[in-house]
Amino acid sequence: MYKWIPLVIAIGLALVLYTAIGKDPTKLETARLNDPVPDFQLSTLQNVDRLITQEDLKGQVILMNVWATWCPSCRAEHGYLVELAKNGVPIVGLNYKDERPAALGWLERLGNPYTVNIFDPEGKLGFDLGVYGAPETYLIDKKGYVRFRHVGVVDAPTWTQVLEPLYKKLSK
Amino acid sequence: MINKSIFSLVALLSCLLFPQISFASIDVYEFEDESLRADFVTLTKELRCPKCQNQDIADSNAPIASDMRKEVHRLLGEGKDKESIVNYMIDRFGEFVTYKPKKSLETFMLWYGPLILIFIGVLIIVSLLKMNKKKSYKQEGSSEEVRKILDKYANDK
Repeated sequence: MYKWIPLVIAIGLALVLYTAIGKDPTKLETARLNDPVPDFQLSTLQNVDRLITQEDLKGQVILMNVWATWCPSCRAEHGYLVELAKNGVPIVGLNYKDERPAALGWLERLGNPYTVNIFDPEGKLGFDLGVYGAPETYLIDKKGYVRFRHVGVVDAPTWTQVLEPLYKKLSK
Repeated sequence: MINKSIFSLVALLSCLLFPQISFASIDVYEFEDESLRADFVTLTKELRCPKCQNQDIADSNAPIASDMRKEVHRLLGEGKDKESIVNYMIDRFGEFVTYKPKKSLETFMLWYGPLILIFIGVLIIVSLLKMNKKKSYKQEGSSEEVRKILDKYANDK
């Protein structure tokens, strides 16, 4: 009976290690998952006087994309976001720790995929959401609850395999 | 003259090679009393930077770590205690953010796994020792039997 002990230990260890394979340790859990978007009151990027709050996000399923002009990966995904927006996917921008003129210039040059842009120069809403690195893209349902977060670039495979199925499910 | 230029070359090279040394966190925080400063120091060492993992937020230069230090400072100033500040960070960045995870069902193995493994190890050692004892006893017995048989045949001669 005792001769089985090493085998049992080896199998146990193999199972434990196996579950960790393929996991990216830099991807964190989403603390805000299934919570409402935190309360905020910020101006829009285009208009200093127009205030926007969490209430304005309700009503339809949206993508909320956290971006900034200092973020190289945001540049990489921007083209794809423009394409998504053309296909009718509503994308709200969260312009994170950025400067207004730089951000506006960027949208002018590269196109504007966003229905509206929340201007968050201090990263306050970003902090409350738990943003730890742009770009991040959140799926927010009709009631304003965070249903998914993708950290990193949104490209065609990410959209068709991960985000789109969830987006369609939530839109039903 | 040559010595001087060699010295400055070495200095220049070391600046180029080890630039990170000079960029420790340089933001300065003021506190109303020293106990708050002590809390700040413990908290920034207990909270883990979400971006540059394996660094605490006191040690990290990442912008997010700097934001977190700012928030810790602000919350301490508002009179929040340490536990509620850690919970505030967990609400945003998840359980990952603390080096001292809560004791819950999910973290059970993390806290008690090592103790359980030690216990299993002791059990194995004890049972192996017992087994060895039994074996050596059996061997003694069997050698006695062999001697008896040998004696028996010795008498037959």
